[in-house]
Formats: sequence, structure tokens, C-alpha cells
Amino acid sequence: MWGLTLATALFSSEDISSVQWQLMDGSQLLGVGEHQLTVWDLDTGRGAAAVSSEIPCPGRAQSALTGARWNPHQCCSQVAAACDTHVRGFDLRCGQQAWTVENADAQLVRDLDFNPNKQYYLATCGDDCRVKFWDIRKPTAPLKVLVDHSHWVWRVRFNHFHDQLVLTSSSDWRVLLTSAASLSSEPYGHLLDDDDDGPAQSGAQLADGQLACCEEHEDSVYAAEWSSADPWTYASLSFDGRLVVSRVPRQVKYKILL
Amino acid sequence: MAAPGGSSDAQRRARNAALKDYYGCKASSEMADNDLYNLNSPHFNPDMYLHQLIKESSLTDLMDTEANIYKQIQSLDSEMQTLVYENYNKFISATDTIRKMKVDFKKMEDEMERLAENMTHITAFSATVSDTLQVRRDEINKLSNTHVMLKKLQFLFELPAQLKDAIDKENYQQAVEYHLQSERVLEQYGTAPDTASLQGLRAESAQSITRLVAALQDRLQDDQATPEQIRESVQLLLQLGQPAETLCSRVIAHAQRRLAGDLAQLTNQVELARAAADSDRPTELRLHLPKDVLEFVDVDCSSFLSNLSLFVTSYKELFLEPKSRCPEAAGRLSDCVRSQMDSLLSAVDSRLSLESAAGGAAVLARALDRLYRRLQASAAVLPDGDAYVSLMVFLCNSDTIPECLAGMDLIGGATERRCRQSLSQLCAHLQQSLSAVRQALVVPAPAPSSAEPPPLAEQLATFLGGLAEQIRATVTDLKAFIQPELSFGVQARFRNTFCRQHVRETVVVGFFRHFVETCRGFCDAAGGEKTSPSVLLLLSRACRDLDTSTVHYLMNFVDDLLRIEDKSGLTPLADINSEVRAAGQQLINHFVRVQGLAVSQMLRKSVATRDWQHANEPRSVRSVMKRVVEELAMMDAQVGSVYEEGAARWEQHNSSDSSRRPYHGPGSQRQRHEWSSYAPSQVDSGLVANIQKLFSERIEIFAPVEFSKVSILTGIIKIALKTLLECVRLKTFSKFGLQQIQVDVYYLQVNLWRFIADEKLLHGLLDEVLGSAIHRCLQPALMEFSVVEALCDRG
Repeated sequence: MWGLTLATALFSSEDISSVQWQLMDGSQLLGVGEHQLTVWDLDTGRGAAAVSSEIPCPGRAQSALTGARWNPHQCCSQVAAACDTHVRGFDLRCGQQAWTVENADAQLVRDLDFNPNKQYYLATCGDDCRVKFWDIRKPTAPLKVLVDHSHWVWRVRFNHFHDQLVLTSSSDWRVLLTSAASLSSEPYGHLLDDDDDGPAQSGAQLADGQLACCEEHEDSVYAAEWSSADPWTYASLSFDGRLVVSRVPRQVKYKILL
Repeated sequence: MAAPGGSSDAQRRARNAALKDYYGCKASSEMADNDLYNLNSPHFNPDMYLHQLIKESSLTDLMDTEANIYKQIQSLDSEMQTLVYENYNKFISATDTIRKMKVDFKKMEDEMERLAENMTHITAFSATVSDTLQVRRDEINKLSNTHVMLKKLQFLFELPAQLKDAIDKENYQQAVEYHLQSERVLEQYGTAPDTASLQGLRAESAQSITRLVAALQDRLQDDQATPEQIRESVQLLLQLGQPAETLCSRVIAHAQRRLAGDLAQLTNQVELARAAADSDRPTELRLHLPKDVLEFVDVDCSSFLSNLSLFVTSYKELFLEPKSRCPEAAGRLSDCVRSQMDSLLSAVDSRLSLESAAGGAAVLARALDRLYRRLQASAAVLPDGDAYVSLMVFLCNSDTIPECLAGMDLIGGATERRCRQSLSQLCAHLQQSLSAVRQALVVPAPAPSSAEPPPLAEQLATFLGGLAEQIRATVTDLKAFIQPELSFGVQARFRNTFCRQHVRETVVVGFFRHFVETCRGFCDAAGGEKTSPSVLLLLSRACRDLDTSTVHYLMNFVDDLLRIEDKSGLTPLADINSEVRAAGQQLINHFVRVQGLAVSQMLRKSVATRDWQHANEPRSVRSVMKRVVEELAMMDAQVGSVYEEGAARWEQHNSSDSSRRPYHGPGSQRQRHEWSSYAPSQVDSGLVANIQKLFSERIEIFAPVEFSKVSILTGIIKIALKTLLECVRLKTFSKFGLQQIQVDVYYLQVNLWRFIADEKLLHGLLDEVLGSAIHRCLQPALMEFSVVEALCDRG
């Protein structure tokens, strides 16, 4: 209903490369420009939008922002942006840089994602073919580095429900499903669903490592996302226009559930 | 006739009986009949003989027989007479002799009687003499007893003075002798009722003895006393009946004090050496120069050990031989010796640990040799002495394990330390030569000439040569420890551990490991950024050379030099080789990655910073592309100076080159067709690309490369082109933008074939770049191929 109205209202001083809804109630919108982030306040009742804040991102002139994410914790008061080889976190309440992960990637950070269930945990990926997990309270060294891809990694996504499942897509034509159980919010031996019939087998724990490799694509895979409806489904999209919808392997699923 | 016959018969019978008796013949009842008729038989029956004779014989025969017998009787008679006569003569002479003897005996009897008489006289005289002398003798006896008694008493009375005198003159030996004598005397009279004088005497002498004992014990306390004096004092004190237990603890304490002096000197030397090692001050400024390790062992340790041996010898003489005077003496001695040896060995140990690697192994080896010899020499004297030389020997003989440092362990530790030092020296040398290489490679880098390959190869040779030389020198240096003239070097156990564990494993294998580690360090993200690619290249080649020959050669050299035959339990050659090879692979992969990223960085910036939507019509190849090609040519030259071409696909490559070289040759026909395929309609261009992909293999961008120039360059180009592809996909192009890309891609195509192993790969990647650009183009219209060619030619 209000789509038309808003289309005219979203105005920014720069080209916007991507837009994201605020994760809590969708009352705000984050736009990623070349050198700044723009946050709009949406008033759905009146169908109006106003620029809430514009946050310039420090950095060299030729290095544009490659992506940004809302921090799902702390009432979405933070956003993080991938800028050149760094990740910068901004506090929206004051519009200042709150934290930074210097040299998160040797070449260029392509994407980042917050762990939806565990505060302060962040994953980044980029041109050095590596996926890195960080604790933003200690940004000097990564907690874990995955080196499974053989070219740039374009996308990294945590599963919203079972955050040990990490989805990555890369221009080496592969989509990888990896387990990062050691960094997950689910502790070992914890029963997620109490209504399951069998008790958990202590030996059937999910370990760290690659779980599935989707090689259906025949070109660079630029996007990969988890389904918001089903925690066990994900989709990936490659340059040649192929969309592949995959499921988490059954054994993995059982291992996590049981 | 008959009468003589009859008488001769009786005679004969008697004779026969006599003979029979003589010969002991027995008449037996079963004698033969003819015996009765035999004249010579003992059972001869003359009646029956005669009867038979008369009965059987004729008269003449009888006559003859009679005559015959008569003759025989005659001769027998005469024989008997002769015999009787002879025996009679002998009897007569015997009788004469007996008569003569009777006369002689008579004479002798008289003389004997005279002798007995004389003897009786003598006995009588002697009794008289002795009777007269008896009285005097008793008197003399008494007198001489008194004399002895008086002498003793005189000695007793003089004793205190004598004792005092002897003590004052420090003639303790004499004093003790006096005392012992007086002791005996006093004991003798101990039971006698004490006279005042005796008591006084006793008190006085006791006083002197107390003084004497005090003086002797003072001497024991005196640190300046020589071992001989100590020994004398202890001997005297023992004679004086002082308890052996306290004495031996005193002697030990004295020895400990004396040895502590020596030990202080030792520790002083250690401190000096430590100070020398710590401080950077020049040597001339220091007042006390530490002795070098040889002198240290030679002078200080030797003096300590000889003092200790001296002490132990005298101690054993005093307390342990011939039988132990004090039950704990032996235990105390060995405790004391153990603690002293422990402190000695730990002092030596700390001194040895301060010995820097700069001194050369030979000096240290000699020092250790001396030490070992000294220890061995002392071992004969010291209780459990062998334990201090070598723990093993001791363990064979005894069940108890002493908690001490053994000399052999010390030597083992020192040599092991030495090996570690050598290892760190080698590592330091590696660092040095690495930085030298880095410097040498950095300096000519700015010079823009393609004629610089020689330095790299030269550097490589110098680097490897230096490495090998250093290892050889180190091992040869370390060999000093196992020279046959060294006493400890010949021990099989030491030799074994030293050669196998220390030199081979710790030094040589350890160095190779370190080298591999260092190489890996260059590949790490942290260290890799700062390293110049040429160093990576050189190191990778060095790894390869090490793998193929140098490691093998050096290990053989070491094994030969140290005569290691049994290789079980040692790191096999193949392991080192594979480690080195893996490091080389890692390095070359890293090199490719670094160089690829450098090139792709250029490409990315050039694509990202340009406004492709408002581009002008392309007039030439963009300068970035030219730079990229130049850069690749330089890398090619650099890699070519170190690595061989790589045979794979080269022939095939060459043949296609020749067709490619003239741009307008027949070979370009196919290209034209390929390129023009995009032109008619952009709808099916994606389809074409997809179909192409179906037949092409998946390209691993950061795949491992082989050790050849072509493979390395292919790796770099793959990375660069993939970057170009990804960057192009992020942009939106106008018509002219697309055409610019077309020109650039063509330029790359005609220039990069030289470097790459598989042309299809190059084509595939470049086609994808152009295809993506077409995808991202608002008005996809390609240029005429001839114009593209012309533009590239002009560039």
C-alpha cells in the first residue's frame, strides 16, 4: 500500500547498493551507500520516511562499502559495515564508530553476518578465500578460520535457529554448509527439543567441519540465504541465473535435533 | 753180602726219612705201586723190592743189581764223609771267633766302670759350687728389680715436665709417646695405695694431656693446617683415646672448609665467566678475566679433585683401615664426598653451560677430556667413585641410585648443549643469509631492466652453497667430541647418543626442520605480506634443490663422518625430503598467490575506479593491461631464471604459437569466428557460454602448481583473470565501455599465450570476461574485429 509513497521518500546523497530492514520490528531501514550508511525511520501509519541518521564511513576514497548488517542484539542499536579490509561497527544512538575489526580480510571483506543467538559473535568472508569468526570484544585475532573455498567468498550466513550451521557461497562455483559447533550458542549435550522421543546420544554430537557441498552451480555463486520459514532449507543464486534450493542433510538434522 | 745190604737198607731208609722230612713230602695212601719199588722214592719198601727182585730177576740180573747197588752205596758214603768234614772245619773257626770276642768285652767293661766313677765326681763338685753361689744371686735379682722400679718412678716424676716441654715444642708425637708409657705405669700402680705424690703426678699429667688434646684439636680447627698435620693430629688423638666418631666428623668438617675454599674459587670463576658472558663491555676493561674453560678444568677442578682425593685417602687410612674404628665413618665419608662432588659437578656444569659456541668445539672437547680423566683418576680413591664418572657403571654394581650428577652425564649434557648451540648458530646463519638474500634482491629491483635474472640464480647458488658449507663445518667441528684420543669419546654409549641423537637428530635434522619452519613462516598470512616475492621464489627453488640433492648429500656426509650405520630409530631421509618438498610446494603456491594478487589488485582497481557507463569510444588498449602484460613478462623472466620451462604441453603449445604469432594469419580465422558469434544476438550469448562450460573443466583458481615456469605463470594468470571477471561483473557498461573491455581482452589474449600451459583455459576465462561484460551492458554491441586488432596492434 505504502510502497509507492516510500519509493519517493527514500532519498540519499549517494548511490545505494543494498537496503536492509531493521530486524526487530521493521520500523527502520538501512541503506548501504558508497561511503556512508543511511538509516531511515519508517512511519507506516502515515506512509512517510525520514532520514534518521547518515553515518560516514572513514576510509580511502576509492574503497567503497561492500556490505552492512544490523546487529540483531541490543535492540538493533548497532550496525556493522564491511569497508575495504576492515569491519566497522556503528552505534546508531550516537552515530559514532563503536568498534572495529581491523584487517578482517587480507584483500577485501565481501560480507559479514552476526550470530543471531550469541552476542558479539561475527562471521566475515572475502577475497582471501577465508571465512573468519570473530568475537568483537577481542578483534585482534579470529576465533576460527575456514579455508574450504578456493576463490573469493561472497556470502556468509548463520542459520537463524541453529547457529552452528554456517552457509557460505563463493565464486569457485560452490556453496558450502559448514558446522561451527564449537562457536555455537548451543552447548554440547544440550537438548534443543524436549518433546523428542529419544535421549540425545553423547557420541552423536555434531563436530566442526564441512557438512555439505553444493556443486550444482556452474558459475560464481553470489548469494546464499537461509529460508526464514524452515530452518533446514537454504537457497543459493549464481551468476548464470541458477537458483538452487537445498536441504540440510538428514543425518545432520538428526544430529542437531536429537 | 746180605749184611751190608741190610745195613745199607736201614741207612737208606733213615736217609730217606730225613730227606722226606726235609722236603716235606707226605706219604699218601694212594701212592703208586711202583713207588714202593722205587729206590729213590720215600715210600720205598725194601722187603717188597727185594722180594720182587728175587721173584722177577734172573740170577745174573740179581748179581748185577747187587753190584750196582753196592757201588752206589760206596759213593754215597764217601760223599757224606766229605760233607761232615767240611762242616766240622767251619764249626772250629766259629768257636775261635767267639773266644776272641769274649776277651775284648772284658776290656770294655772295665773302661765303662771308670767313666761312671768320674761322672759321680763331677756331679758332686757341681752341687757344691751351686750351693755356694745361691745366696748372691737372689741379692742381685732383687737389686735389678729395684733399679727398674726406680727408673720408672723417675720417669713418672719427670713426666709432667717432659710432657710440657714436648707440648711447648709442639713435639706432639713425643708427648703422646710419653703419655702412653706413663699411662701403662700408672695403670700398673693403679691398685696400689695412692701416695700423694702419685696423685699429684697423675693430676699434673692429666692436665698436660688435656692441653695436648686441646692443642691438637685446635690444630684440627685450624684451616691453615696441612693435610699431613691433620693426619698426624688425628692419629695422635686416636692414640689418646679420643672418640673416633667426633674426630671423623671434625676431620670431615675441616676438609669441607678447605674444599669450600677451592669451591669458592670455582664459583668465582663461574661468576666471572657469567659476567663476561652477560656484559657487553670490552674485555680489556674488566679487571678479572675469567679463565677459559680448559684452564678452568685443568687448574681449578684438578686442584679441587686432588685435595678431595688427598683427604679421602688420609681419612681412609685414619678411620677405615685396617678395620673401621667407627661404624658411621664410611657412611659419613661417602655423604661428604657426594655432597662435595655434587657441588663440584654443578659448578663445572654451570661453567660449561656458560661456554659460548664461539670458542670452537675442540677446546671444549679437550676440557671435557681433562675433566673426565681427572674424574676417572679420582674415582679409584673416592667411595662409589665410579658413580661420579658414569652413572651406568654404578648402576651395574649397586641397586641404589645416587641422586647425583655423574661426570658422564655432565659431559653428555655439555655436548648436547653444544649441539643446541650449534643448531641455533646454524639457524642464526640461516637468518643472516636470508636477510642477505633479501637485501641483494631488493637492491636491483628498482632498476627497470629485464636483464636481471642472473642475480637470482646467483643468489640461489650462494645461499645453498653457504647453507651446505655451514652444516658441513658445524658437523666437522662437532666431530671433535668423538675423536679417538679423547678418553670419553671412545665410550660406545656416549658415542652412540652423541652421534645419533645429538649431532644427527638435533643439529642436522633439527636444522632442516627449522629451515622448513622458516619457509612455512613466509607462507603465513602475517609473514607473507612483507616478504618480497623473489625471496619466496628463491626459497622454493632452494627447497626443491634441497629435496633433490642437497639433503641427501648432507645426510650421507654426516652419516659417513660419524659412522652411523644403524639407521633404525633415526629420522629417515625420506621424511626430511618430503617435509622439504612440502615446504617448497607451499612456498611456490604462496608465490603464485602473492603475485596473482598483485596483478589482480591492479586489474581490480582499474576496473573499479573507472566510470564504465560514460566511457568514450576506445582508442587504444588501456595502459593497465599493458602494465599487466609487462609485469607478467617480468615475472616470467624472474621465474625462468630459477625454474625450468616445464615440458607439459609445450610442444603442442609451440605448434599453436606459430600459427598465432602473425595476427592476420590463418590461425586467427577461428578466433574471428568465435568472437563474432557474440555479435549477432546477445540473447544466445549466455547459452553459448553455458554450452562451453559444459565441456570445459572446472577451474581451480588457487590450485597447487608444479615446479615449472609454465605452471607457475599459468597459476598467476588464472588468479588475475578470475579477478578481472569478478570485477567486470560488478560493473555496468555502456556500449563503449563494453568495447573497451573487448579491446582489453583481445590484447590479453594475444599477449598471454606465451606464458600459459593450456590455451583453452585462457580462452575460457577471457570469453567469460567478455560474456559477463556483455551481460552487464546496457547496449551490447561489439566492435568490428578488425578494428579491435588494429587497436591492439597499435598498442
